[in-house]
Amino acid sequence: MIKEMPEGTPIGEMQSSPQWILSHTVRFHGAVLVRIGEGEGVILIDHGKPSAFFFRHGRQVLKGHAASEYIRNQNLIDISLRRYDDKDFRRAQNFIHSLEPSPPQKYSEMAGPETPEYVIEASPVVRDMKIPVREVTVAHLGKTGEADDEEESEESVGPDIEEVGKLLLGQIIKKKGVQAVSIFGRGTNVLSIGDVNLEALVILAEDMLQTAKNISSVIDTGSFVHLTLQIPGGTVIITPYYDEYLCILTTSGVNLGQIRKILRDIHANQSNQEVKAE
Amino acid sequence: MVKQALQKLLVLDGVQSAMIIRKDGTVVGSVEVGEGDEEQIAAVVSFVMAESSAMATQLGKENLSGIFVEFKERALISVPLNDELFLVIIASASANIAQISNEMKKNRETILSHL
Repeated sequence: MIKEMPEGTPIGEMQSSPQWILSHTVRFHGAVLVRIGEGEGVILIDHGKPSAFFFRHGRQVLKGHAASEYIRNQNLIDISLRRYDDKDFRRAQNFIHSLEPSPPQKYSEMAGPETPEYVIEASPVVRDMKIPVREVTVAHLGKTGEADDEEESEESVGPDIEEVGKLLLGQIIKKKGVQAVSIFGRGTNVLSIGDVNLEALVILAEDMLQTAKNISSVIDTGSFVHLTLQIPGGTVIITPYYDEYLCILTTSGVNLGQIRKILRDIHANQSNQEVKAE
Repeated sequence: MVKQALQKLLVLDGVQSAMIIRKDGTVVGSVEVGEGDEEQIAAVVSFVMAESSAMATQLGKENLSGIFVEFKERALISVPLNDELFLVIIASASANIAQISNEMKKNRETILSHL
């Protein structure tokens, strides 16, 4: 997708409305790459403020207000987030400035797709829940933007847990039947995606995990991987995630095998990193 | 009789031991569990079940269908038999958990009838 744009740090891919993107990138510094049908574009966001728009479809190129309006008029678009440092941001700006827009035209002449209405319908398991349902939220999305002022060492190649977390959360939320995913620790929700607020579960989940881990003190089990709670209409899966925990809420339609595979991969990665650190 | 009912579950691939415990952590019956171990396991599992039930309530669900705790080498599955009792299985990590859970639920009434 738009090979001329700097790679930056990929944060994740998802589907969303343009309004949602612009209202949930408050402190974000980077690019939102969009795909609409066969066309593709970029919204460049400077610490939460949209600073450049462009969209192209074949030879047609829209820039600035025209591109902004075209993108904003879509119901649902595929997006990919890339966090930029100042150097990457300038490169991206230069690339967009270098583009020549096509002669004025109506947006309707751009071959846009027939986008469906974006409706989040709560499944029975969510509807029955006592905890409040909220709109899709990526908490702390802009948090990394705050760090952009600090100098980053090129030698620092260790995993940025928050960045990796965003990628992972995006991966899990896309699985069929997954309603919400959250990373939490020490009584607070660190990062979450989904249509259910898992904050109310955080303290209970931590207590439960500590108790479950005690099983390994009475039988030889090896290290703890995850705990799955089966409730009517769904499951709650909790697993350690580096120094935090990951909580996944699903409907009964989820493929638990797929989720278990992701959890086992996380566990294996963590173990490998611990071994390397030693 | 309870042991006979639990033995049926031991034939499943990967199942290493089975036990029935009360909510308060006392053991009602078990197969293939060391005597000293069973009390400790029952105590910990009863705590996990109590906390899991609290979480189910928080989610607006009165009933807990079961829990599955996976470790690197072993897995523990626990399903409620009634309001007071839980059926607990310890299996190898490679066991077919879905099959074991189904068998546990299928045999629930038989096990209860032997108590």
